[in-house]
Amino acid sequence: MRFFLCAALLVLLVLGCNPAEERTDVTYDVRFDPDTRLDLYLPDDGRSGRPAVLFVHGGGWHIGSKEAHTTDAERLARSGWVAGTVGYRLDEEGRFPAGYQDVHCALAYVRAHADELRVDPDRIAVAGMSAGGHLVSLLGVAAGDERIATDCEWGPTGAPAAVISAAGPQDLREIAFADATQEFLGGTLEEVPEAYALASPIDHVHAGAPPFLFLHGSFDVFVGVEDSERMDAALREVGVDSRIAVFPGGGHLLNPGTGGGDLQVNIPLTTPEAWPIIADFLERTMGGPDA
Amino acid sequence: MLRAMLFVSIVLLPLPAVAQERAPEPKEHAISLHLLGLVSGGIALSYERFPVRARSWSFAFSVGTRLPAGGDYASFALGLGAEARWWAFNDAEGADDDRLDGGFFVSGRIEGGWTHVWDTVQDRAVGDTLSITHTLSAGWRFDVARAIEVTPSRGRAQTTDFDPGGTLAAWTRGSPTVSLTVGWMP
Repeated sequence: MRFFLCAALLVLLVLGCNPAEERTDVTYDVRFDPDTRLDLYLPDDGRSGRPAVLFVHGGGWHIGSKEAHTTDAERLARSGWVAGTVGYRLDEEGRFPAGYQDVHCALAYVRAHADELRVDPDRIAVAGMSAGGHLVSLLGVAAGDERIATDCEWGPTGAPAAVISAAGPQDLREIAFADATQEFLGGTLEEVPEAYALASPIDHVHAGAPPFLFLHGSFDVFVGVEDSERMDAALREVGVDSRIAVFPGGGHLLNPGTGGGDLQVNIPLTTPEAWPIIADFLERTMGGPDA
Repeated sequence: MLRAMLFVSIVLLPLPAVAQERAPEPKEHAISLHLLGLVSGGIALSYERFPVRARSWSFAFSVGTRLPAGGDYASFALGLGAEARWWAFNDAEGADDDRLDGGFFVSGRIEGGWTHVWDTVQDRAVGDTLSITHTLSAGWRFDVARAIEVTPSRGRAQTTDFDPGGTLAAWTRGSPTVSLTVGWMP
């Protein structure tokens, strides 16, 4: 009996002692429901003024779902952060700037409901992978751009407190050859050059943007690591707190496991070195759960 | 009669030796390099042992290290693993003649890993990750000239990460895996 009690205690310690409260399929923009829903995970200890992180999934602006980041959000929530995963319009309905405006609206929704969600509205970060990395980067530098700002019930709102972009395209002209890019922007680079400029985070870089963290594999054949490196350099050039972590041999969807032998079909966010970097970045730039 | 005995001695007695050459001794060891680790800033080696009396099983132990993070961060990772493999075409004890040193296998593996990360801009430690990974795999070993093994495999891993610093709660995630080893079978 004692053995089982000790084992149960060990399991609790291992899994963390802060079970998260889940609020799934919360509609943040009724006009485009059910595309515009988010899942929220709140630390179940009743404390308020928490920092928050909203995850935005990838999928080339055409596929994917908010559930792609459920385990990330659950982990952060059990660690004391409020965390959310954002769904947004995809494919033709999500054509630029619609998908971006949805993410902007989700941030505005969480800010508007900060008291109810026990969130500090000034400490909300956004994190995204691939297309999600693009959308959160754009939100970081273009939240104040009225040409693409959301017109939803809760917004527009200012930039997030911090941005984590994993393998996100920062200059869409660099991937203008891709069908996904052309469909997202409604034409080729020659046909709609202004859309490519407007949708490229690197064209919106300005002093006063929030801190950025870039995570990128050096063998990423979908979105080259040079994209993150150029954006990181541009942000530093204007005095923005920007950091970059490059994973040698890491790809867009194929990254090393722990032991140095095998590769795992997984995104850069899941590598063993990514999470200490993410947690440190969040704590350094906007304070941890206990701040 | 003498001629007959001479014939038997010269022609027939060497036959067992010839037969032995045609069915050489099975390999009992393999020392392998995990090739995919090389592209990700790592190196991993494994030692595999085929028990003499249970040829349809083998047991492998691996050690690997990586220096994965770059940019504004650096990191060091160390992993230790143990793996049991069941070989579909390796005959059981007593049926040595047609035995292969390879072919199809399924395996179960457990690996422990430690990753330490530091910030090179501010020259300070960022944190650690302790990982336990369970992997179920299937693969095929190619036996090249009875001395070299080439073994691609695919699997499904379940990894649980722990933060010994206590900042992050533990989490478990699953992912498909791919592996490729090349090794020497002495």
